[in-house]
Amino acid sequence: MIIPISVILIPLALFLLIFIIFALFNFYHVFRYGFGDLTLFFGTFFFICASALIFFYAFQLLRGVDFNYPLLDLRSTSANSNFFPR
Amino acid sequence: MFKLENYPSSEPDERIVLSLRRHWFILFKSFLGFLILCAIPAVIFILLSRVGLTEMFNGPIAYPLTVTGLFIYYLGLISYMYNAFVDFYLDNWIVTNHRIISIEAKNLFNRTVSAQALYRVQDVTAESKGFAPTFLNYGTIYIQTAAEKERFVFMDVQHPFENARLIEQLITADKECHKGMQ
Repeated sequence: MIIPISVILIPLALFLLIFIIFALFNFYHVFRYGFGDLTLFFGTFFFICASALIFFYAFQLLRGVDFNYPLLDLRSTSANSNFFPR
Repeated sequence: MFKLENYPSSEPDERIVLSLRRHWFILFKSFLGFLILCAIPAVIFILLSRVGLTEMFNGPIAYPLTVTGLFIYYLGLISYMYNAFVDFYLDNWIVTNHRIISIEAKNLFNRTVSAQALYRVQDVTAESKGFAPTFLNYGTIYIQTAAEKERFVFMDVQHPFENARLIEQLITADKECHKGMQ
């Protein structure tokens, strides 16, 4: 059984989900309680820009990665060949 | 921005006398922590490059793991900083000529707005403890009331002693006003 490197995208997706929920709750609080405050507006603008920059840079770095590359190859480990000799 | 006319049961002659937030140093401390945590991966990378160990990040497994790890790390940091910033700006304590209004976020999913009439306040205590609070003149004001919510705490506000004195003056004026009504 080959586990490809794309499995690391599962915790990444979970983290992104939590990140988006947190961001949406903060946006809700900003618009509900702090609407019209210029400092909060600029803070929110900075947060969105910084997040977009991190997303953009990470995706640029990950663009050439082969996610089918095996992270774990359980077929031919030395442990397997020792325990189950052919 | 807090507007008194948006707040339920505000009296016609009511006006905001004090609007307090935490001292800027509290946000600065979070920002300093954020900067230090941002710099840690770069420092580690520089230290590893000095001993020639950066090659280990170029492998077909190590490279995507490192980039994904750093992506999660920096998104987490920016999220933490934004949360600290929103908390700092939306926590607000307002003193009008009739009431004390406290708007506080206990956590991301719990925001509390409570109010108490000034004439019901029993005691006001100001406290400035530690090096930074003494040097930068910020501290905590405790307001003891006779109501169910016993204590209002104005955490890390600037000029705690001057503000406490002003609140005491407002309480005295409100009590006089209520005596006159009875």
